[in-house]
Amino acid sequence: MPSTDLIYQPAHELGAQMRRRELSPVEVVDAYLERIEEIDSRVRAYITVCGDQARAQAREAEAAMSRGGILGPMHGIPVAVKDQFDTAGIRTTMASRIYSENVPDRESTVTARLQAAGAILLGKLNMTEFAFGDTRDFVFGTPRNPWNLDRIPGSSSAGSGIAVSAGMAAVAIGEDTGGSVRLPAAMCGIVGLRPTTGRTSRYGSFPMCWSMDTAGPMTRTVRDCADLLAVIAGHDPNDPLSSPRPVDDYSSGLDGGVKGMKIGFLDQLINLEGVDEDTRNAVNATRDVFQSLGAETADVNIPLLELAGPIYIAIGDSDAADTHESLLRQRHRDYDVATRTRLMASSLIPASLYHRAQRARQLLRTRLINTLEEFDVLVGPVVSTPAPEIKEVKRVFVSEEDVRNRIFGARSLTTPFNLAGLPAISIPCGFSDEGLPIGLQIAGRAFDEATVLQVSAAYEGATDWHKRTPPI
Amino acid sequence: MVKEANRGYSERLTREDVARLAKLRGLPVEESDLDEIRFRLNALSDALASLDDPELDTSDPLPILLDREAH
Repeated sequence: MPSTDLIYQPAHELGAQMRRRELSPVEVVDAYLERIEEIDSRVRAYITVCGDQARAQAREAEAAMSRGGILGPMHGIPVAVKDQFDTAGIRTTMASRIYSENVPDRESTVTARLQAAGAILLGKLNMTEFAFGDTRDFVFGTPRNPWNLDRIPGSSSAGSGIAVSAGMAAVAIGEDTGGSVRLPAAMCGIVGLRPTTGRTSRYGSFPMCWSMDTAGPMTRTVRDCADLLAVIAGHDPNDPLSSPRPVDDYSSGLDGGVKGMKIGFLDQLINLEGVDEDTRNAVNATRDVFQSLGAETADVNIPLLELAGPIYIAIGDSDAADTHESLLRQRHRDYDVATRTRLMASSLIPASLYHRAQRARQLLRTRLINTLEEFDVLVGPVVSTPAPEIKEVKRVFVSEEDVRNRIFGARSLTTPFNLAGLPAISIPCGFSDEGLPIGLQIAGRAFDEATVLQVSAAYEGATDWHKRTPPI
Repeated sequence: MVKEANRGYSERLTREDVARLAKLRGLPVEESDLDEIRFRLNALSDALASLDDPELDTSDPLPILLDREAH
């Protein structure tokens, strides 16, 4: 069994120890590979483990250090990446049967930047099929929540949540179209940030929705999240939605606190039908923490906010239907049934409904941006309940009411910020009576990830939820 | 331009409607999927048709242009 001190150490501390030559990259990579070997058959975080390559990279990193060189800000840090990002020469499956043997020639911008920063790729992570939620039959094994193996880890960046939470990678990359970084972060008790649209490149990641797909960091601490974002953020000429504005220094303000800030509590989301008592109480309890740190808090209500779920599905799923149209015609039986029925339904959405959703999106976006002129950040829950049981998520829909109850409300918590293109993070803010993690969502102004991270760091510094580790 | 609220289809779709629409779109559909597809589509139509916001029909359905606005 690898040293828990090592595998659960924040990445920035691992990096500091390696730079002081107190720790070897080879030792670190071996510890994570040992951990993966030990528990992955139970949690199914990985689709592909790049053990030999990772060890070779670790030896190179060690040799570089002995020559006095540092390859970059993530020198020697073991990272794992959602299997939605192309990695040249390494299988990239989207967790689908259709791409199960796909080995791309190109490297995604996100993974290229990790390599350039000196990170070591441990492997490619499991996910719900094609980044849709609620896959029923996983081609590469059912991913399980390390806090309770009968529970889901959250979708769609499921393996990313598991790997970071269970000490199977120092940090990970996820992708968030409608909550797919924040949901597994919340359910697995880690930090996950969906940056502003255009802040991270989409080049080389399999698309779901052109205007909302966003790569994001998943880490054990807010500082690691800031460091990882700094590495993957920035303009990419290969992505037409990529922003040309310079990347902020996300780390320097982390100790700035929240004194004098105005924090809006999203009343409709906190009290949304379906949000359970443990979650509501945990989110409401953060109010006292922020106030004790000198922030001013107030309730906020924004018309349409609680209806973001169906608005998002009409737009996001319509985009996905277009992406998948050809494959759906040719290989529909190779899709998971939940993905297939969702794609088939969205293939039949009339253009008038799609435009109605786009109208609602514009209104919601304008209202969120206007509200954020009054508040520094907005906070609310990430998920309605702590991680549900796997068997519950696999249930077939039996009526329109069933779809509405199980999908629309839950999707309304994270999707407002995808629709508006704004940055939003999930950080640990408590545990349920059953011992499952609960996440707090903090959203901010466009391209103001620095403030979102600063507020998150202040909360993290005043609490110890992030220090707990799962019982696996 | 002001548009009337639109629920997309004029009534809830049946299994037969879904099978016919899929066929017209050239999409192969499994008999066993028909109920779930119609539940998803009907639920979405209902939800979007029920959006009740006075500004909705005068809001333009523009694509997102966030960074240009932010500059």
